[in-house]
Amino acid sequence: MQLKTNNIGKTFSGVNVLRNVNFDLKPGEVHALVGENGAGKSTFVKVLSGVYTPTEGKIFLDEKKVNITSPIVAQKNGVSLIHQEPQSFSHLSVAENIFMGHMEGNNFSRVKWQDINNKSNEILESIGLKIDPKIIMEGLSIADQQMIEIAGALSKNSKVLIMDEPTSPLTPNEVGKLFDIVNKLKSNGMAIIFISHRLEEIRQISDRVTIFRDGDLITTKNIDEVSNEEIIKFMIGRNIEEIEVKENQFIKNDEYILNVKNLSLSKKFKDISFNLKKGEILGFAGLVGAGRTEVAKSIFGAEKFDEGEIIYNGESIINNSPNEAINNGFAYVPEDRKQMGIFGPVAVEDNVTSAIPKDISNNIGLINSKTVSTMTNDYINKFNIILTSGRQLIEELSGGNQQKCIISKWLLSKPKVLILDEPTRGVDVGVKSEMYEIINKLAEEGTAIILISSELPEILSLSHRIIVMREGKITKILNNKEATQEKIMSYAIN
Amino acid sequence: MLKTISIYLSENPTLRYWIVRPEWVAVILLIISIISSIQLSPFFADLAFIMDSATPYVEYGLIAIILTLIIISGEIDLSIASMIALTAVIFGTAYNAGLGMPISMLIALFSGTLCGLFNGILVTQLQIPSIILTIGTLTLYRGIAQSLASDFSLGGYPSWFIGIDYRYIGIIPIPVIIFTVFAIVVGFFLSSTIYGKQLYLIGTNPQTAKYSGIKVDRIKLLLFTLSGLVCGIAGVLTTSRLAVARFNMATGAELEIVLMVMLGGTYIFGGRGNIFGTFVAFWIVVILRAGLNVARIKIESQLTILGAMLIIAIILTNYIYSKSQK
Repeated sequence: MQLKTNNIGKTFSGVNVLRNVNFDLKPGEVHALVGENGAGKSTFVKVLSGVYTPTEGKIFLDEKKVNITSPIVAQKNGVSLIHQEPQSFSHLSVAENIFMGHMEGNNFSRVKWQDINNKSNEILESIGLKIDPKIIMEGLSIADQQMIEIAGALSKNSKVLIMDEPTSPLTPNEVGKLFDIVNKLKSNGMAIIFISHRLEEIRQISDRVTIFRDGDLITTKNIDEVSNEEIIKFMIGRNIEEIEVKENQFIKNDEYILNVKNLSLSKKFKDISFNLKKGEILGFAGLVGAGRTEVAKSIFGAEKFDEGEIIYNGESIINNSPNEAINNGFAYVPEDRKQMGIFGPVAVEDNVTSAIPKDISNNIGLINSKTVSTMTNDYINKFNIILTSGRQLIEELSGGNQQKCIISKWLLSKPKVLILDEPTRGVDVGVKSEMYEIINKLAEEGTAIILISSELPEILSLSHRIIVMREGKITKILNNKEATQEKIMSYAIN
Repeated sequence: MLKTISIYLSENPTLRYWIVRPEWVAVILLIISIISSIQLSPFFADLAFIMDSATPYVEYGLIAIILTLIIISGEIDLSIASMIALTAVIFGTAYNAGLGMPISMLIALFSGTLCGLFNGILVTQLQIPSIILTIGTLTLYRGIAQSLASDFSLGGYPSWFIGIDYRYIGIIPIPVIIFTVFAIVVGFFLSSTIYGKQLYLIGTNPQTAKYSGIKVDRIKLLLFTLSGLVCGIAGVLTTSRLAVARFNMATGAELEIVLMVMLGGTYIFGGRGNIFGTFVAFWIVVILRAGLNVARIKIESQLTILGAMLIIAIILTNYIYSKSQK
């Protein structure tokens, strides 16, 4: 089946996440989509598979305009989405998973088990998978579950298969098996969209590649007409005005405040070693899932680590809990603001002072509410936080103002090492530049800062040094002078 | 009209903080119950009568105060009624074994504390949801009580011990005084100290609380232990009131206590509520029960009215929360 889109656009609460996407997909083709996190490729395939309805534009299947309003409509039209993490009913049988949602019954609506099991067997054999359709899903490997999801798509006579990063949870061996299946489907005329961050895989499996950036479709190329360097260039594209990284008096010293040696946590990260000076901003670049957040959490004591050592101010320490970490002078602004950053239906001033119980109460624990408001108001004025009063609930503020509150909360704890995990995510442009000013100022005052960010321009314009991580390992440590977006991207991907 | 009010309130957070509070629902219900009870019987104008009616509920009230703290912090303890029975039976057994009154009391309180500690350890260390775990210990503790006492009533206490509900300071029975003082102390703790504040934060978002350096597990452990201790006190008080201890004391009381807490406007999923609400809800239950008794309405029908009241309270509370969240 041929798929074509005409000027597809998608807006979330006023923000364009997808603009004028004109895309085409031929039968018997594997078409790769690439782009940075947030470039719009996932949104795009969600539009195609009915998870989102587009704000504007048209979708054509075999030259016929279709309105894909839900995943079910998409499936009826022959478009199926294979999720990155297989979405299986783990306590049901393989056959039931394959035929979930379209099991045929007899006149009394009794499921024709024989029929379904036989058909499942046929489909599984056709893609070369030797699994008994009657066994329970639980206990099968992720790879097998993924193949079964593909089998499910085949059972619905899908003609367009969308695979969202199918290889990221697989071992190299399993990837090989998956590619065999993909090639088989392709030769049967299936049109396949393949999302991956691994350029080598894309080169291996796909015929054409389409690059997304900031919600725009940049270009579509035949895979043998474009080099990896060119793809990376297309992905980054923008020419950002260069903001000079600010030097300060502290980083001229050779004294390290933090020294992390061979930190490892099974399945999350391995052999993480780096050091950090007072006043230094150390950027952590990499793709989502590269293990940066996990490293930060382990240092902050929110998670454990298996091996390695953390030397802080010349002494070996272990933060067993965030509480100990805070007392030692660490602070962590988490990535997931809603789940870990704010107390939603609670007043701003109680949020802002939640990490410094001792500073707002006397020795028997009585809260001094005057101190609470003064401290909060200080930061409301300093950071220009827009609200009606300190008693307003924090969830009523905009994302940017919430983030300023969280930063205030951590600055009140007077940290020596401040870890910022995606500090400008979901924050509008104005607040972003204010945030950069704040970060630079803190470094000037001698705070050591770990800055985790998936936005390369942000990392480049703030960090003195940049650590690039991929799949749980440090692949490169770059000095600001030598770092470019292209370089970082190539270490983050390859 | 409603819209203008809600806009006005959202622009004045401090005013909203005082007006949009679910415990006002409890206060209004209390006023309604008092008025309708006075209509039923002139006895209700008599404070002493109301005070006397309150004594049988004091044990529940004490526990409801602690349960309020537990629910605010996002957990629940359903083993409370079983802990009353178990500590009472242990107390009776110890006394009948000749250990003397002070030691028997200490043993009762200690065993209650131990039961609570056990709940707390399993909830915080093994991360078992408290609603599941305490349903388990609800059965376990009642079972231990039964195997200790079988179907006997453990009595034979000295006369000075029996009938604490008939001792007064002025017209107020001592248990009511204990309850009121306890409510004031805990209410002050919850509203004015940093530890109280942290309970709300934990109940609102345990993850953020953990990342803010709040010792979530330790605080929860302490609350469950405290709940056990208070149940031990309630066990001894109940034995004094009834003059005997039996394994089936306070059967089903856990739900009545949860009802008190919820009637008082505490949010069952944590993060919101206060002691004042629970205190008011206690009096609603007392007055309703007494009023309905005076009106010669059967126990079974009383439950219907209490249930209806709870549902009204829940609907109104939810409505208020949905408004205050905007």
